[in-house]
Amino acid sequence: MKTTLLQPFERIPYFTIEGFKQAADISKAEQARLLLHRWLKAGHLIQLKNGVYMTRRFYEQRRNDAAFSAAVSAIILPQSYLSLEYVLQKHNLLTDVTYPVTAITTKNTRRIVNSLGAFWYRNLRADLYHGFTISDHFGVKVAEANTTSSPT
Amino acid sequence: MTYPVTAITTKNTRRIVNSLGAFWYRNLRADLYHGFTISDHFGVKVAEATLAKSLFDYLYLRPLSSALRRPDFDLAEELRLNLDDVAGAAISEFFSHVERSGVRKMKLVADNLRRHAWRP
Repeated sequence: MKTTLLQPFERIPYFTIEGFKQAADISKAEQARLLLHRWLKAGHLIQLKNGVYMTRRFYEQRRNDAAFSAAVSAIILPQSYLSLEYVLQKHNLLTDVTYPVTAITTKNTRRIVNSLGAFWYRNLRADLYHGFTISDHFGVKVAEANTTSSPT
Repeated sequence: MTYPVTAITTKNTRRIVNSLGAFWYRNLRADLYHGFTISDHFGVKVAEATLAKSLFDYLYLRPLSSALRRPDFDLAEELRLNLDDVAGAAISEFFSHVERSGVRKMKLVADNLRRHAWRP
């Protein structure tokens, strides 16, 4: 089936399987699920949670909106209000580093969160594991990519 | 969007990660579910706590050291919270949330902040 069926959903932030069935005039839930699954795999859709989708087009149009992530949060769980770190950070009350420290490894990709912060490690093929310089900080060897090596 | 979007819910605490980021929801008792305003973003109703209520929620849900009872213990310093520039109205609102909650821990917190971070 053609992705033109998605056009009505490109101007709204999200839709459900039931909404899609009605708009596309599909009677069988299985058929609707199969179509959505294929479009998800093809990158036309983004799954926000089970049964709730956003079109790639809507995402591309609105992703830079300051309230985009706040709205996604409200779509995922409507019975909620934004609070805690998200709001405190917005008002500069938190002085701790909240952005993760990001690194490349030839080991498995993993995310570690402890009381000092978040540390994200992405796996890269061994033959691409180069382009960094090593410095010493209090006896710890720290390898940091040269500017031109950091993928964007 | 690399850090989680954090929110309060009266439903179960849960963490949802999708291709757009991480969304963390913490459960709070229904009688503490207030102190937010609602705005509309492309048809989605978004509720966001005031600064004072966010601070209340943050301190209420966070396990705090028993040292909180010590007169020399500076909570804001300990948690590295930048409370110097919080406006008077937000401070008053914070204290009213503490009063309304009736939570003993939060009364200790309020006393501590009054003593150290928000000295008159």
